[in-house]
Amino acid sequence: MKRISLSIALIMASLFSLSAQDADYKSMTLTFAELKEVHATIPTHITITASGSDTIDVSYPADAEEYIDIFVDKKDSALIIKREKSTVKSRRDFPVSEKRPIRVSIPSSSIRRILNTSDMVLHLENSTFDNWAMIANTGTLGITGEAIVAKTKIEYYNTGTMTNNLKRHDTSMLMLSNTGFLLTKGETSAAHIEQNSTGIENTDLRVSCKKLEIHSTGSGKIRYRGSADSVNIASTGSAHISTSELNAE
Amino acid sequence: MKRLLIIVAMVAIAAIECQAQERIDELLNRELNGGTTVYRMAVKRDAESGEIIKRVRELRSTGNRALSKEFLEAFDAERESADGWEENRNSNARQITAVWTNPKRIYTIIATGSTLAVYAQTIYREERDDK
Repeated sequence: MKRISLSIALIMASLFSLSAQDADYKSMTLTFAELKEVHATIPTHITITASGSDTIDVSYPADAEEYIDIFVDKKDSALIIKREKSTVKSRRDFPVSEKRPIRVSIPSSSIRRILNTSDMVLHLENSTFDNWAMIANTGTLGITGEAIVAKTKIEYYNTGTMTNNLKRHDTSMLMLSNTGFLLTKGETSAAHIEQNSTGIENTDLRVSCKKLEIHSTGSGKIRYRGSADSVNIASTGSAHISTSELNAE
Repeated sequence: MKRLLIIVAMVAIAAIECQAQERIDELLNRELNGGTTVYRMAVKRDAESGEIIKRVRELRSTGNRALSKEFLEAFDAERESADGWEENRNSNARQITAVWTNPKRIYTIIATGSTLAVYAQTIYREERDDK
């Protein structure tokens, strides 16, 4: 009985602290039609939604208000999320962190590019981007959701740590370029796939493509399964590259 | 009894011929792992059914003597089962072309020291003349 009471007390305490975290957030709404890019240089959680509206919903830790700058750069049609330079605190005292990130909700249909140099979690509720989509990371980026869809091309550029757990990458051309650590899983309908690696890879993709090109001077494990009409691999690194399951008889 | 022995012998020979290419195929299918390696593969498909009718693979490697040795040993081990065999050898290099007719495969290896090139062509069925 004592143990059950203690467990209930602990659960209540953690629920209270979670709601306390949310209570301590402030919100604002920006409006901009046809947003093309998102640039984040501070810890951010981004949700791409299915909404057809032009509104961008932002929430941030209340005590971070004077230290951050969030606005739409109309010239580049870009949402900028960054530190306010004139009030820069030391990194240790900065009130925004991966545990208390900026939270942004954006309608996706016009988005083309997402750039991250800090800690980002990107969740795709709605998968459809513009004709092409580029996600570039020099910090730490985790991508979750069912799928990403961009008719012409999807490009992932990484020099930091990117873990991409999307189940599908639907496009005509898929490009993976990595000099850091890149985890890519799922399946893709791309007819042309190009992977350039000088970093550490953990790739496991099911494909149905006409052309697969891999250039590797890095390390890690690269595995392609499914079907490919043409495969071209150049490797001077120590990566384990497996394509034997392609076109398996 | 005699007929049964002939059938068993033919089945055994066919199995050995399949295994011949399997050893070389196994090396070609093995994951690339270190060294300087280029691997290319292309398939030709039946336009209607999508079925693969021909597959061509090429593996080039430099600086990996152990891999060259493994491939040469695989070719040598299967010499007896090949339907055609042509070899050129000098002090530094070996070139072998081996042919199997059933199934139809043409495998070539050129090994010079630690530089290796392997070409493997597999023809699953002849192309149909659609004209």
